[in-house]
Parts: sequence; structure tokens; C-alpha cells
Amino acid sequence: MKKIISILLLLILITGCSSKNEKFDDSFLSFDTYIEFTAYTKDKETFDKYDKIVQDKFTYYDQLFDAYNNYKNVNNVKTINDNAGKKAVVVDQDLYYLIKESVNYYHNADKKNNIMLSPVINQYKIQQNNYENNKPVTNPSMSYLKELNKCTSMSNIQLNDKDHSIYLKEKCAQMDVGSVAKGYATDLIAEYVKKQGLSSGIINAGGNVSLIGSKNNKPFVIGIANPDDPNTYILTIDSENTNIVTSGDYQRYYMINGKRMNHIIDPDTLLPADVNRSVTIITDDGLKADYFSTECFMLDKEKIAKLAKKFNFEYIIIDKNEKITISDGIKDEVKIK
Amino acid sequence: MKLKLNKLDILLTIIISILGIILIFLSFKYTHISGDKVAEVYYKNKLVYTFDLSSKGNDSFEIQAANGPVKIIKEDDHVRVVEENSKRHLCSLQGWSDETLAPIVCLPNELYIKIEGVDKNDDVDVFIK
Repeated sequence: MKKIISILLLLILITGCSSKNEKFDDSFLSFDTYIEFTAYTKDKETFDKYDKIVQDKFTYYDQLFDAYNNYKNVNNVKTINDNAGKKAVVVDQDLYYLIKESVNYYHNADKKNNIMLSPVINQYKIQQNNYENNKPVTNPSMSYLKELNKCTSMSNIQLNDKDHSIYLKEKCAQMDVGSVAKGYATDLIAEYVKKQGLSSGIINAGGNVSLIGSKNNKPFVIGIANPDDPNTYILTIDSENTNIVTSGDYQRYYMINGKRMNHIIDPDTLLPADVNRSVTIITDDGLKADYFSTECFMLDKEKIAKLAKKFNFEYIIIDKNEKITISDGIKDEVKIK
Repeated sequence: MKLKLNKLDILLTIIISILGIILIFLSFKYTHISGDKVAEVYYKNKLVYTFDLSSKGNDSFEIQAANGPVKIIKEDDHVRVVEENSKRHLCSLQGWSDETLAPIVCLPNELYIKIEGVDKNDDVDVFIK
């Protein structure tokens, strides 16, 4: 009997002495967005170690995926664009994989998320910039957009698996991986810090979220923005160890004649997509989540349901009539406010 | 079966039980960021000013940011941007903030305002906009 009591007392002590994790967080600007890193660690010193890793990694991927700036000793998307029609560019394996997977998804999904559409998208970015700077705004001319669209075929991209080089066939072709890069980078960084020993945390890069583990054996609670009031949330999801990405019409846009022109351009119409207010994708792969959050933003719920089955992801749609559709796999984890 | 314990056994059992219960309580205690609520102003990712949101009263801070001067004011427990240069006042349009989940982000000016401290409604861990 004494032995039983001793064992019981030992168990009580062991449970009591188990490490207590505290919540720490930090935020910074990178990837042209506001990034938040939260981690549950035994002390601030441990958190700071992971925080530095996360920030350094975001700086690295920001430069690697940048389509508008050159960096010393970095072959990035800008380098590929600068050599369009001239020569192939050997790139880092992470960039090569990002481009290759984007091409694969494009050809096997609904052909909406086109990473070669930037000549058209940039015309809308000019107007968005004008809007933000209080300058006159006008919609891009459709005839001009159609002319630019001649350079946006995905068949421009030539991949070489042997040396990881990318070649853009036409001189006018320009790539921009903005619709897939953040989700991919966030996931890569989350996986990296996990391997360094972090067991519980969240990385939120402007709407691209990677969840690491859980919060004291309970799922994290994720709030999804209300498109009509993006500083409040309209519903929550309970989740752990996964990736969640939201695309919405309230993120980057300009207003003209009372109409909101959002930043996601439909390659079939060359106009801002007008089907949904926001689409959230939940899946184990950050690149997949980011790719399909953009693609599905331009699709109706029937097409989204088909893609979800084919590519294995869950979704939440808030359509332009404010109707919320939730996929069956996460219905039990979602609470509408 | 009769339990044979002497006085020392009983004393040790009590001490270890109490110690264990205290440690169990502490290990399940969940620590959020504690302390008074503050609004931290960051420019180019460096902390440049802190507003104390736990005290009543007004305060203001102005900084020469990437696109010109940005003025931030505090009234009691909330803050907002009131002046910014050249933009369509998107930062000012974000309005008042007093919640940790609603930072004010002014990307073109490379400035953001983060609210730290315990929220009234701390029921989400991350907020996706």
C-alpha cells in the first residue's frame, strides 16, 4: 500500500513539474504586409530565438519572390522577368517548386489563378495607387487590357527540372507570384521553426495563417473578418496544425463611381472578380491554400465544391449576397457570430 | 488491508500532496500578456512611442514617416491616426483601435500601431482579415 501511495505522489509531482508555456508575440512589416508571430514557449529568451528565425526567413523569401526589385546574389522573380525572351534563369529550389506547383494547379484546376497575368493586374494597381494618393481614378481601357493580355499565357513558362531553371518565352511576359507566395512562405517558415523545436504557435502574414501544434492541447480559435466591417470577425474556426488563407474584396481596392474594384482580376473577363466577398481555404499545405483562395474567389460554390473534393481542402465562402457556405469537413468547427 | 503508516509517512504525504497540487495549478495556468494596456507605435519595425491606454486622458505623438508627418492621438483607452501625408487617409479611415486583434497598419508610411495588454473579449487567437 505504501508503494501505491508513493507512486501516486510521484505522479502528482511529475504532473506539477511539467513545463508551463507562456504566450509571447511580435509583429513586423515584411512581404508588403503586417505579419504577426505568436508562440507558446517556456520563456522570452526561447521566443526571441524563434522570432529572429521567423523574421530572417520572411526577409529571405520576400526577396526571393519579389517581382519588382533586384537583390545582390539573388535570382528572384524579377531576374526571371528581366531575362524574358532571352535566357533561362537558375533559381533556388523553393522558388522553382512554387512556380512549378502553380503551373500544375493552373492546368488541373479552373485556370483562374494565372501567375502570368501581371501586365493586366498592374494596370489596376496603378489605379489603386492613384486612389490611395488622392489622384484621379479611371478604369483601365478594355482594348488596352486585351492587348496586354496577349503576353499572359501560362505556356510562356518553360521549366527545367534538371537545373531548376525558368525561362519565359516571350519578351513581354512578366510573372508575379503574389497570389501564391505568402501562403507558401508562411508554411515553409512554420515547418522550419517546428523542426527547430517550436511545438505551439501561429504565423499570420496578412491573412495567410500557419498553425503550429495547438494551444495547450486545445485547438486555436481563428476569427474570419466580416467583409462589411473588416476590423470585426463574422465567424470563428477551431483548428490546429494546418494552413488557413482568406482572399477578400475589402483588402486592396479602389472606388470609382461608387463601385469597389478589388484586386483579384478574372483572366476570362479582365475585370475584378464579382462573385464573392471572401473565400477562406483550410488545408495542410500553405501553397495550396493560397492558390485556391485566389482561384475560388472567382468561382461559384458549385465549382468550389468540385475543386475541394479533387484537391482535398475545406472552405468557407461569403458570397456577394453575404450568404455563408461552409464545407462539410469543418462544419462542426465553425461558429457564426 | 490495513494501511500501516507512521507519523513521518503521513507528514511527507501531506507535504508532497500540497506541493503537487500547487504545481499542477501553476502548470495549467495560462498566461496572457499581462500588465496595463498600451498602444505601441512602430516605425520601420522599431518601437518609437508608447501610449498608456490604462489611464484616462489625452496624448499625442507625431513622427516624420516614410511619406511625411503622421500624427496619432490617444483619448482615454483608444488611439487613432488623425493626420498622414499624401494618401487617401486610409490609416485615418481605420479609426479608433483599443483591441489587440485590430492593429492600425499604415503600410505606405511603414508604420503600425499595436495594442498590447489584456482584452475584454480575448476569445480568438488569430484574426484573419
